[in-house]
Amino acid sequence: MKQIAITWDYYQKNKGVVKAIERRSELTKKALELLKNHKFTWIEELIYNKKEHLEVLKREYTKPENKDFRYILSLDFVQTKKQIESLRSLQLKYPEKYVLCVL
Amino acid sequence: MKRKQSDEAKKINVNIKNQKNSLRIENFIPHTSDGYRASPISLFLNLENYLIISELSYAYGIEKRIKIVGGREVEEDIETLKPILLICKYNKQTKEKFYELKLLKSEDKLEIEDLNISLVQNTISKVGIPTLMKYKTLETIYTEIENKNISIKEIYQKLKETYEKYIYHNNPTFYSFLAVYSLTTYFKEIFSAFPVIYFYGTFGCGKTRTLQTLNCFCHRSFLWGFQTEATTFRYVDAIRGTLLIDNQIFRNSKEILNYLLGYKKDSLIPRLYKAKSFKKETYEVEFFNPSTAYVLNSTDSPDKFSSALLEQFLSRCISINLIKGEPVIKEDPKLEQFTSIREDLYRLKFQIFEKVYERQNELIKSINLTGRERELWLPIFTVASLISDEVLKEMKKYQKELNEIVSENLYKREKILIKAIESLDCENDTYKFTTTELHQSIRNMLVANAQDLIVRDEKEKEFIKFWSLRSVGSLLKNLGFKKKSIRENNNISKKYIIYKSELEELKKKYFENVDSVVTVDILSEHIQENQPSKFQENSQKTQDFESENNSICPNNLSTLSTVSTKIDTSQLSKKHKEPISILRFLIEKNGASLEELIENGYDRDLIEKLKKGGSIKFDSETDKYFAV
Repeated sequence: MKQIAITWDYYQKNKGVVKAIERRSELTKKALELLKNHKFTWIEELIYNKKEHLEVLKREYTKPENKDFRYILSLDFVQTKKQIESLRSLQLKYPEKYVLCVL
Repeated sequence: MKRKQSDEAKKINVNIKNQKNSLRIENFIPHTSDGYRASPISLFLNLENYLIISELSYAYGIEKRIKIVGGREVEEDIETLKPILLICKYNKQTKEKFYELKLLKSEDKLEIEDLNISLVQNTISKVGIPTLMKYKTLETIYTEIENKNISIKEIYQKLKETYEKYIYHNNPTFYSFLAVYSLTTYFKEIFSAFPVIYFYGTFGCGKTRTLQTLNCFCHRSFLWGFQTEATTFRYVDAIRGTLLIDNQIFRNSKEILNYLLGYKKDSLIPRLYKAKSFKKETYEVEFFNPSTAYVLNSTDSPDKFSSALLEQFLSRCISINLIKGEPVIKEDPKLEQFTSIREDLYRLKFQIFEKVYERQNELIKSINLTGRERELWLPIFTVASLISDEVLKEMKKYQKELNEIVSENLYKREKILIKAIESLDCENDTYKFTTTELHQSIRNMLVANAQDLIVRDEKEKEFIKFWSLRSVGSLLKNLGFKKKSIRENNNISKKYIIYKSELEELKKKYFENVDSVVTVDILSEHIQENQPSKFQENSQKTQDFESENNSICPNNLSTLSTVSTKIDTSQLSKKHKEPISILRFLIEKNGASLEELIENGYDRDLIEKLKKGGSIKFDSETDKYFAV
């Protein structure tokens, strides 16, 4: 998963002038293109979703019918935790007013 | 847009330039500074956004190795034992924990918050010890999904009950202390200092049994028999667990100083080793950090230590006397019996380490202890407070009990010096004196009042040994006093000038936690003579003496203050010599001349008084005084 962070303020300021994209700097162009063509979400929201996924994994893990697949659930749990960790470090780098574009 | 592009181009140019102009030393091109280093097996890092700890485990597993067979590379699976590190990163803001696994290597890196923390491990043990965290536990902590929650209260209760069964002691708080201490060893990295525990007692009092039981529950514990200095450091470097050292004779041992160095987290010991990479024999320096949890036991009580060692020892140790008795369970505890409790303790470590750290920061402000004493007891109090308020109270009470014994010998020299200054003349709330004058004053306090000639001789020898002019000067410097030039009778001389308020401040610092300062060892004889019970026969005279003392030193802090106040020989004899002593002296000596009496600190006034009262008589034929 590639992650690029831009400011919320930046997005608010520029979303109305996407048409004038030619006159913008390279960096602005790149960011606005991303906003135009891709989905994006708050980091916090993304983490929340992943945490919900962890809860699902926990529930599934305790079910007797999943006994043979516990190692897969456990690996998925670790993997999701790692993703949350990397998102958190991104969030620390760029505080809450930033949004995340997911490619 | 053009300007921005040109800015970026400039940046790129600077980077290229920097690369070209990198400092080249012979054939070596340095690029990054040697930054922050940490020991991977006892990791505790307090970064801006993260708290980081680690734990060590050994596990068997399959390693893929590449072998060259007939010029072709062949992959081979080999079963091997490897040390594994479990690193936990606690995000302070979101209060989440993230785990990372690493194989323990002599050099490694931990990347966090744009920081490269180099993990340097000088010594790696080939095999683990039985008390290390089991791989299964590591797995459950790492994957989290199956990890169970541990209650510190419940585990404390289990530990306490086990200690009660396996060890005998007449003080029930001792068991609580052992349980709290065992728990505390799991968080030793968090504290800047960790107390050394010293058990002493007669043969068969259960010293080894206590260590064996502690060995079942303390963090990465190892019961150590005979060891040398080098092996101790290597072992500590490799495992950094709780080192339980059985039956050592420490009396004048330098070894104990090494253990005491391990009390402080950041102390380093340099060691030389032969460098292999050079043809010519050269040496390189290696730094060892001896800090870990030490538990020592011996038949030597601390007061048998040489005086130079005693103070260092007492200030870094919690020494506990063990009592001979029969424990409930006669057979020795076995490590394998308590695996599940131990594994729960490891789980608990990862579950509450951040709480321990936070509580420590809260407690450090609120506990009413200072300096070494605070360092010594802070880890115990922190963990106790996480268990319950009752346990914290119990530990505080125990600390006071043990401290009463320790404070007798702690800051002995400083206390004597302060008392000696106090006994000097004080004009306008200021003490002015030279080192020689103070030296003489100390001598008067410690030697001049000994009744018995033999005792006096011994005290004189002791005084000469421990109190030189230089040592008095250096002690004054250590206390922060400097000589100042003063004009007296048209002469300029250099003297120490100390204000009474300054002295009072010092008294508060050095006598603070001592309820009864009387316990300064060298002065104990004088003090005993001033105990009320011994004064009962001469109650009237005692009252006179006490009222005199009070008038001289109204601010006395303790019974010692009433003993040693203003030092001039006549008053000293009044204060330290009661009539019964002079009579005993005369009886034992079968009479003594006036000179002999004065030499031994009995002044003329007292002799005249007793003569008038008919307690003693003077024989003009022999020119001696005799007891009636």
